[in-house]
Amino acid sequence: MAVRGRVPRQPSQLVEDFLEPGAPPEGDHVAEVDLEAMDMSLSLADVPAVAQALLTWDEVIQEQALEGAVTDMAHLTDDGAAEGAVPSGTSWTERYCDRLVPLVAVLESPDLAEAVLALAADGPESVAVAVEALGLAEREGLWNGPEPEDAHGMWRSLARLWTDHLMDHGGPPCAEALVAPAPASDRVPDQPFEGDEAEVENLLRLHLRRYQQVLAGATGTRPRWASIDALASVLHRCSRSWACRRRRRRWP
Amino acid sequence: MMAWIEWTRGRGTVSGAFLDRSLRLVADHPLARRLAVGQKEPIICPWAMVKAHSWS
Repeated sequence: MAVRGRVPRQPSQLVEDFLEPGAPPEGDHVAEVDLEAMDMSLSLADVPAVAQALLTWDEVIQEQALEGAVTDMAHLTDDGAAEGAVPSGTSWTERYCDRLVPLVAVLESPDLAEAVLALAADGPESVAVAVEALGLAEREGLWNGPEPEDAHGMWRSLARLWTDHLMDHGGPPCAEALVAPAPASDRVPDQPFEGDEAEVENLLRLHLRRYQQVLAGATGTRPRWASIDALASVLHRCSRSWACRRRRRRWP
Repeated sequence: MMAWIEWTRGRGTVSGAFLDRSLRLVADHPLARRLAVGQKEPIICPWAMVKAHSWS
């Protein structure tokens, strides 16, 4: 295969490049972050903590996406500088030092790492609802794998849990309490509207379905490539910063 | 995670390389194993099959 201006690289070489260690972080900050992230030990069932950590991921992804756009624009200008660019000499771990613990804690959990992928590709709306609903279901032992035999009962229970969850967090017990708008598709066909509880149930199903569609790359719409690229960039920087500890770590 | 990102980009071979590396490091990593199951019967990511939706 001919690639103009550069030598084509093998996939294994791309992986090696990705994992190549960067400059070691100053001090023992990475070790401290590791310890704090392990103490945090997030799981899906830690609903409020997970929501906060995913919010942090969303912020970082968006900042990185913006920075990528700014960098791209800077290449087009004469001076190569642009507002919002990271000052030279600031390492990634220094820049995000106050947010590294939740970022790392999320990556420690495969379920939550999956949520970060969906978050980048589709934005926070369906992901937030889906992850909270899955977390509530896990916490209450409603759904720990394949859909149960009494799926309808499970959905009803989940809708009630969700409503209670919203009440606990100051939201009204009705469908409007779902901060996120429903995904573009129509209401689940076999679940006619029967009142607020049924509406909540329908919206939960739609957001969970959307979440699964995102992970399958099957939304039928263009994903947020700038955010996916930004996430890849963040993972690369994490990988470089943590490379010296990789042998003892289970990620990335 | 990079395996999934590369798969969505339509770069299945690179995705496979990340997956192999990931499973070599942590053989029982759940996310990697889920992706590896899909790799047995490789499917192209639907986003990569529509030009308007694909990574470019």
